[in-house]
Amino acid sequence: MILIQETLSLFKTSGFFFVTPGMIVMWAIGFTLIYLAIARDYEPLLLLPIGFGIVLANLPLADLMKPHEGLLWRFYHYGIQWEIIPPLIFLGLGALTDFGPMLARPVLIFLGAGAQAGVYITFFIAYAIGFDLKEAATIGIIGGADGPTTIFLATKLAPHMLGSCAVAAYSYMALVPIIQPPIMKLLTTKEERCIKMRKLRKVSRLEKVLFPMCSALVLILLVPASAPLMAMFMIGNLFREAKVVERLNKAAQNELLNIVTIFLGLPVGATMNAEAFLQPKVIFIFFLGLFAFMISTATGLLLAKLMNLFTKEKINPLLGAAGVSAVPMAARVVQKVGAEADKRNYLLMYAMGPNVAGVIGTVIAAGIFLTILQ
Amino acid sequence: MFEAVSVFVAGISGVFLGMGLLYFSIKIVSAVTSRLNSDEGEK
Repeated sequence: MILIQETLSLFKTSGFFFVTPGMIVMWAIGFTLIYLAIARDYEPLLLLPIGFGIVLANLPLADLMKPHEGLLWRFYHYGIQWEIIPPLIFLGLGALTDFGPMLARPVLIFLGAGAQAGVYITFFIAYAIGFDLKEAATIGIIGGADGPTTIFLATKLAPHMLGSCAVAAYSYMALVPIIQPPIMKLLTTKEERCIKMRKLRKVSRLEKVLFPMCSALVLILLVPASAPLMAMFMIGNLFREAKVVERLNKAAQNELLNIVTIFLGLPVGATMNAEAFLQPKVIFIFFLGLFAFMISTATGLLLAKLMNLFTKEKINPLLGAAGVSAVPMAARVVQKVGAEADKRNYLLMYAMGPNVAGVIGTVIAAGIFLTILQ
Repeated sequence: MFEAVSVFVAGISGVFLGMGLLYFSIKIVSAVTSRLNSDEGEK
């Protein structure tokens, strides 16, 4: 009898006794993300730690997200709330980015701006259906297809939506090859998809070295709120192009980027506890995130078509779809859809221009939201 | 609603303004560096 009572009291102090149906649903969501990462290769670097973070945050009594005490809370507080991890990710991205194609044909950067129209259109619609301004801005930025920027903005404007917005952003980034091609084909004719681009000029080393310094100056002066991301993006790129700090360049591209990716995914997933996540609003976040992504693709394409009305040298409008950040996935999709229309048409290098411009455009868009709404 | 409209307009115009400034700074840098390169070539 005593043995049974002891066993029962042990069970009552264990986590099993406090498991709720909501927690079980969250485990299912977490394990689904882990499955998608491992079995389907959907953004595994982020969805795997996010998925595991969701499971960990929904284990009763573990208190991993307990303020000031929980391990994952410390990662979240000091890494994300203190604005350290997203800028460090941008340092690595800057070191990985070649601005050469963009510098060779600078007019293509406007396609990166055109794709940001989807961010603002979605912002407006989200506000119209009942989200407040800060929440609407956080949902809209999903259309920029830039994970770290989404996390950066969500932390500042709507921290309660951080997990759902981050998962939506990374999920849709993984689905770029599925989401974009139908829109690209719908909005362009076969003749347009076959347009061949002029050969890119050679960009000198001096131009590549001067670019990160000039753009950091110009863009941070214009939108100071974008400074944490823009500054780190450009210093990372300067490491790459200067060619004299190869150790720093390699560290930013590899070790540092990998380490901060671990510490980004886990706490982001851990913000998704059952009470905060299992709400009708979250369904709208995912729906509007997808809408943002689709509209960004469409506005990029339509801007390219509009530019063709005024320029002598025609631009292949498919390049507009690469204006969403998702580097280099969106550029690869442009190459694939272009090659389907004409297999001798190589668009990948041209698409990298608007693709990297899209990253800059999304950071500017986030900076403008912060300036006005914070 | 007025606030949302103003964020919408300011946002889109701000992004295009930023990209426009970036475009002109790239053009200026490109012109200066090509001039420098051609001067070096002449020497």
